[in-house]
Amino acid sequence: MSVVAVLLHAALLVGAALLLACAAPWLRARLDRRSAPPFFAVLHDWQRLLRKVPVATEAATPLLVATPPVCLAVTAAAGLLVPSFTLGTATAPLADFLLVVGLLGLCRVLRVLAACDAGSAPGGRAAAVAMRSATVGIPGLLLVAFALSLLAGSANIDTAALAVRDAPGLPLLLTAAGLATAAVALDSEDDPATGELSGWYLAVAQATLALRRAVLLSLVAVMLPPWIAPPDSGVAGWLLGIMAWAVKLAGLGVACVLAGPALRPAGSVARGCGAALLLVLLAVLFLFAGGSFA
Amino acid sequence: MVAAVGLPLLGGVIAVLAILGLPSQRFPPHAAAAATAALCLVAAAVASAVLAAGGRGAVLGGMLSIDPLAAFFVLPPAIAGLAGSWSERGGALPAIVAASLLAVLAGNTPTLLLAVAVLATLAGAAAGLAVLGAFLLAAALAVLGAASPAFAAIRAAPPDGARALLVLLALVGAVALLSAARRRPFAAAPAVELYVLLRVAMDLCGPATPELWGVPLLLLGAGLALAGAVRAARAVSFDGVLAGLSGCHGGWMAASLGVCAVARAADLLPLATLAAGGAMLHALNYAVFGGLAGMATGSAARAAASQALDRLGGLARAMPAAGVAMLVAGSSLALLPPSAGFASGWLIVQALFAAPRIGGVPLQLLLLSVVLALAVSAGVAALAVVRMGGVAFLGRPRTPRAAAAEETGRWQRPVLLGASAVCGVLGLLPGLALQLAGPAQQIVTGGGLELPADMPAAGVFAAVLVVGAALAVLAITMRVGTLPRAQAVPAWDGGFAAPPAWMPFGEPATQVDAAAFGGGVSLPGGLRVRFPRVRVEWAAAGAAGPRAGLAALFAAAVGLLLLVAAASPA
Repeated sequence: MSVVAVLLHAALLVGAALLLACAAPWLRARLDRRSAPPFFAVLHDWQRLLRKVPVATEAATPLLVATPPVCLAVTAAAGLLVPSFTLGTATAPLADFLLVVGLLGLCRVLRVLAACDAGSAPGGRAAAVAMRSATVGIPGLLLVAFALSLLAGSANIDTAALAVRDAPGLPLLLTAAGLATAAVALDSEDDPATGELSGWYLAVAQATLALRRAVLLSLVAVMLPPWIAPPDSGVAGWLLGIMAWAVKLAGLGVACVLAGPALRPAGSVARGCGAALLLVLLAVLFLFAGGSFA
Repeated sequence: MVAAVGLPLLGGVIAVLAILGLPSQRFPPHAAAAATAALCLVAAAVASAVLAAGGRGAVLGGMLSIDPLAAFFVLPPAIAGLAGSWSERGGALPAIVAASLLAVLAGNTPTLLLAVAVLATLAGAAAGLAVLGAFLLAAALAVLGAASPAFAAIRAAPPDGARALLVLLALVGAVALLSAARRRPFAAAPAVELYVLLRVAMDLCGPATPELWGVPLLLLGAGLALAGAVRAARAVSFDGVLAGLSGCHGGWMAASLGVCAVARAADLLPLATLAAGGAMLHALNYAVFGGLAGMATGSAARAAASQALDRLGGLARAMPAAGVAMLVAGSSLALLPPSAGFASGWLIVQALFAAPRIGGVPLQLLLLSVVLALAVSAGVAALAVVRMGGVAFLGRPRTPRAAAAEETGRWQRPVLLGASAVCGVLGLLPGLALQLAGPAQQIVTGGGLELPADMPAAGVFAAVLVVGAALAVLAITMRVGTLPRAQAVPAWDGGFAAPPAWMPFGEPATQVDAAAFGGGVSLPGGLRVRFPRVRVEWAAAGAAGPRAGLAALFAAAVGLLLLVAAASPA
């Protein structure tokens, strides 16, 4: 049963990633009162990219072309760890918040290295900007893990998802808000190596960003009501869990679309992550003041 | 029995290494390096045997002694010496290894002081700081061994009250200064510093230390981690980056030791054991991945005839094995999964996360600031690692000499790849190395450690599942053979004119350099965190203000002697 849940979760996560990727430009255009592109335009773009012959600079090592598939695989592994509609899946023992954050960080570092690898000025600039925002993003996410382990007694997402239901309201709210801010800020960050990739490598890199959005938003959704289905809740519980997850992901996805353009300029991602860091810092201070952590 | 045989053997290893490290030209560099490697292997084997068999021993009238704690800490210098002897021909390496081993196996305070002072002199270019640190350590050890210098006697009658506090503060200050003075990265240096802290603060000062004991250690850890990471992020050479990162990782270990001290005082033995285990595993792992980073950067610097990041570039293309080794070592240095650095760093973070439950708002606020400092240091360390890898190993060569670099020697590839594989195994199976640390932890906390049940690397089934899923996605994406391979084209400079014929690798100045990773980040509310600007200071290093430094040193020495005189028993 737990393995079936993992397979269903993987399929749902991929579906959500594709749906979010297609809906975002469409929604953006509607909000700007422009005429929207076809809903599935993104998928058609990827299909077209798959047919092109890719090029890579002759100065690059195999790292440049290996990065997009490796990043997709690592993001998919992180996605398997984050619970979506039910707890107690086969991957639950591994679902450590630090591990998920670390896997996403590994992807970011690989992308930055790929951008450096091309040896072009724009790639190097983008790499430097991305790494500078990481110096705020990594502490922000580590502090979220700290708050989570204080709130729930464990940084394991699966254990924490059950325990946060009894956690004190204000610190939980602040932690969730901090995590959501960090997720939206990190989601708006583009792949610094985009300018160096082409053909199907570019398509894979863009698909990775879409999957990353689904993973990040699922991570936030765990901490928000309506709550995720507890372990062994049966098919009815799963259905309720899927509906709750879809609602939360849709809401957070709209937030990403609204906040994304504001975070485009260089350095804004670091500012968003800094805001997240301060929110979580406040949550931890409230926890200490209340003395009511697990 | 094993200890009784092993300790004289280790003493012999130290003696031979010290002779090899004498500044003379009699030994051919290759022979000296081979002998160093062989002696390091012997030391590691003997230490493992002593760890497995348990027991204690002492020789030379208690000058050298061994117990499981010392036996465990013989491993990092041996591993670092093994790695160093491969990448460094001749030089002071045998003497550095000998001094580290002597520090670990010292059985009384004069021997420990001598070893640490020699080590600081050999590994540091900032002589003033190193001497000041050695002075502080001398003060701490003098107060500690006022009645009798032998460790066994000190353990029987540990210092108390103001004397104990003086020992601790002087010790913490000494370690901070010695770490700041380090200019040459020796991969076991953080391990030796951790050992000195462990031995003096947690073993010799008795098993019943107050909760306050952890506070200086926690502050030391936070300070070392931040300072080391920033130093690494602004360094201009391989050695500078690695020396800074060794300070950063040493800070993580010291912070974990602080948690151990606080938890032991609060009688939370499982937490204390977790913290001590995390620190020890990180020390061992750092010797491996720090040694690997030293091997990769050493061979790259030799091939390109430069240590300066801004004179290198594109080395991974010319030296694929060094590139792979740097990638593996770098992921550990930046604490990224699934590396060895992540595994032990994860244990340290777990200990820190559990520590606020000990209680008391002042302690909790201190722990929050330590968590914040370590988190920021992890971010800045990642920046430093990416900066080093991205500028020196990737991109295009920045000088003709860097373009001519190539991997030399028959053994370069297999050795570098083999060491990378060892590093990978340590990351995937941290339990193996942690078992080695078990007997050593018992000395500190009186209990053994079981791996936490929710440790990610512990669930083998789940790991296989995740890796399998990753490989499946990889295979689907690659669809081997059906998708077109990338064609090689010249580097695109955003529309700039093609480079002239005498610049076959393009205009080097259009790439980012090490300074581009400096600058700063904006936080909400107009707050701006600036990284110190990267400055090239080749000539200035170690030459700043000798007179003022000497005067300060003299004043500090006199003050310390007065303090020691006041604190020693009548």
